[in-house]
Amino acid sequence: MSDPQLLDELRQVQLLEGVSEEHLEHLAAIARCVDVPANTTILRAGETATTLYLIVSGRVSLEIHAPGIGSKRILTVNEGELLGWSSVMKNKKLTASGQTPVSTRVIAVDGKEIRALCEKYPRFGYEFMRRAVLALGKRLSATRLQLLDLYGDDQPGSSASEKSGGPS
Amino acid sequence: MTASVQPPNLCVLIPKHELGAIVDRIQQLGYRTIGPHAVDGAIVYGEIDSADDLPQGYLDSQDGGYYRLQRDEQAGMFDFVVGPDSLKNFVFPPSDTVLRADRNNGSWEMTQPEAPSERIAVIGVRSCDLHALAISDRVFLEGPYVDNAYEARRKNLFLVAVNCRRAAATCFCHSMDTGPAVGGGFDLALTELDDSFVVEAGSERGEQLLNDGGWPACPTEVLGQARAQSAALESDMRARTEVATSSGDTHRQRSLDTDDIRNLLMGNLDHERWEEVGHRCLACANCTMVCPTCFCSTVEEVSDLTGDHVTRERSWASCFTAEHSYMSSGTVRKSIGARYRQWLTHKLASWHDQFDTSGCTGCGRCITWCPVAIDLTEEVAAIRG
Amino acid sequence: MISPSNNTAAASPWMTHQVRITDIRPEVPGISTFDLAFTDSATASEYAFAPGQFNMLYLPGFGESAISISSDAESLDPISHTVRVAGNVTQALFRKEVGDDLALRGPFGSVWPLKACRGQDVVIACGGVGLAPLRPAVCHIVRHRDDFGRVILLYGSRTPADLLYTEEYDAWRDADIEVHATVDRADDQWQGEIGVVPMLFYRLRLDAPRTRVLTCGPEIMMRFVVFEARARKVQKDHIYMSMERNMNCAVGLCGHCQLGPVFVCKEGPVFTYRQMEPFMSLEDF
Repeated sequence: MSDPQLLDELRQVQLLEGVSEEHLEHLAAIARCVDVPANTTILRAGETATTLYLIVSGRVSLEIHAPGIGSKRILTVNEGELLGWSSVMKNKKLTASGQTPVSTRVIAVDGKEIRALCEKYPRFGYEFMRRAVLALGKRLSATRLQLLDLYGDDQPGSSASEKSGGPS
Repeated sequence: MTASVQPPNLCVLIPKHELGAIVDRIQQLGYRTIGPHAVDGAIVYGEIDSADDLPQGYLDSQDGGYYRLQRDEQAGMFDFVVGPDSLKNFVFPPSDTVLRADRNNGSWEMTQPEAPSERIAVIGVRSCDLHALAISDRVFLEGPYVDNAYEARRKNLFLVAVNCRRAAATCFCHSMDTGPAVGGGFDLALTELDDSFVVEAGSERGEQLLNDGGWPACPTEVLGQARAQSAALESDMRARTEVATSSGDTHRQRSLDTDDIRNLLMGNLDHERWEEVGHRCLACANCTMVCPTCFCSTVEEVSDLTGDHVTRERSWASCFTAEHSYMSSGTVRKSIGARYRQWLTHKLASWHDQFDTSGCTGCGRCITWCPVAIDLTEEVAAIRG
Repeated sequence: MISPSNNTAAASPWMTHQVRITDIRPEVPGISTFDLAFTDSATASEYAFAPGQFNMLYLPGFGESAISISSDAESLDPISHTVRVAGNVTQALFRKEVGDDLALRGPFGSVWPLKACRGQDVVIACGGVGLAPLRPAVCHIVRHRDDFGRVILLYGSRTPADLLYTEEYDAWRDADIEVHATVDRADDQWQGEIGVVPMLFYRLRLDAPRTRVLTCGPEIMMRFVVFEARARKVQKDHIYMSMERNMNCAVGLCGHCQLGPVFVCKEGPVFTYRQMEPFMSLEDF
């Protein structure tokens, strides 16, 4: 994909809203757009995280493997979201695997290059990290909601207004 | 705009012993007469056969969590003030059938109970309770769904009001504009003087009764004396709220600062006072039972042993119970402080949003009958800061 | 409508009418849909409801339960109620069979603002059994599709087996409604989204001034949906929530369902976020 198109794609990413044109250009220079076919493993648990991904379309299913339970899909990461965030730090191992259930377009950035960019342009670094924090915060909050098991036996809905007593 | 002059209500003066004749007249009109009784150390409503059954010479002393009834030969017929009962019992009984379901040949037939038709006259109603009844009228009659049983009972209720000559320490009708002088909403109103009663008619039924009785009209100066008596009581009540605060008298007159109270309470829903009062409150629900305007209820199934005859019984409920806000996901108001907050914010604040009036008439019952003497006037003052 | 009009002494709010179960469809574990028809044809011809309303279903000897109506308001045969088994009354209902009788009074409550949504983009965000009270709104939109702009349905449940009405999603998509389903926990076959409904909302691109949001589900879920909607600058008056409290009388007289100044059975269950905002962050309210 040519640079102007990539820049345009970057402008559309919700997470990057408000980032200056100049900073987007820096990012575009080190980013590339990748079309990932369906059923591709894009991340492998246990490997070093090297690449940061911004999902443009489609989605990635995150899976965790554990002895005894096998492989469990725990989350899908979708349009506008961040994947592989641990690559912005050195030598971090991925804790989950990621697979594309459908064909997916991503913007990929090498972790080392993003780190170098942040060092070179601290203002950009701040803006980028801030947004990464926001993205992770949202994911944490969503994960908590998932943990609450809201639709379990305690779920209110259309039929919850009854007294616990029967005929007296 | 020219001011229209209201003709004064029909007003007679009767010697005290003539009250019996009025009671008899009311009975002849087909009303079961209810009046105050001194029972188990308190003044409660009960059936009276004649004016002789009225408790003469009783005085009550009320304060936070405190009620004592004393004999006093000098006291008049109505010198005690309100007891735990109010008119609520007569228009919104503690238990009432709202539906019957009977199984015939496998299918259920639903019927409504007949509209209540008993005519009841209550003697000795105070101004605060008349205001409470007017508030209940708004709740039960002026919403999108009319409570038919309430409507029938209300029509069949004859009210003989009494102008208070004394106030209990817990009374604060003067803060709520609900007394002590009786305003309207009665059939007859009595003002007790030394040897006589001034009897005013407040409705067509009342006028009819007085006209038929042939009693002499009340002279203007005597009526003036009656009015002055009420006015004096009111100023006395206002004075004693101030005097008492400074002298530390525990029997000070309560009062409530109602200035912007709706916004004050709704704007302080996370005030620490709610938690604090929650530590004191036992959630015993006494206050909601004695309060003349509380209207929460619960409908439950009552079945006979065969299971073929079921009635739906509506009975008094209280927002202080855990059951009240229970849903299948759990109780919404878990802490007692949250329930107290619900009760007080409803009574003094959101009642305005719902019914365009305060829910409180200053009768003070909730203060008197609270076993731990929680005083809502004090709670509001604490939140006001 | 059977429910009495303002202040008529004649009709009593407590009167309940016999209905027959004409069909029972198990939907997902613990949730079934009951189709009901009035046994008296005069009553049947008077009855009408609008999307968002509920009926009080009565099982003599057990009690009443407030159940949202989940069928098409423009086709009253049958009147469907998707019910989750919870307490004594619904347990008794689940023991019933086709052909059995119970009783019904209603409809009660406020409605989804479908008129106000005309010409607007509509986002329906719901979870669990919360799709049931919104289904009549979806039916209305399908019938009158041209009256609305973009229509998006976001729906989440615990697992794929708990998703309601899955057999209808394709028909809804055919009616130009974007349907996105998500689950908290996937199974091996699930190829769709895994995550919570607010995250589905997060990635929508909306034209905020012309967007209306209808939401129903666990209160926490609704809170987060509202948060996302507000982050997108959807107006407080354009976000509608179906609230729930303990309902006993359904006519605003027993006091159980009070939420601040409003009675959920009378002024609700559908409220705007503007109405609910003062109470959403309070504990124990």
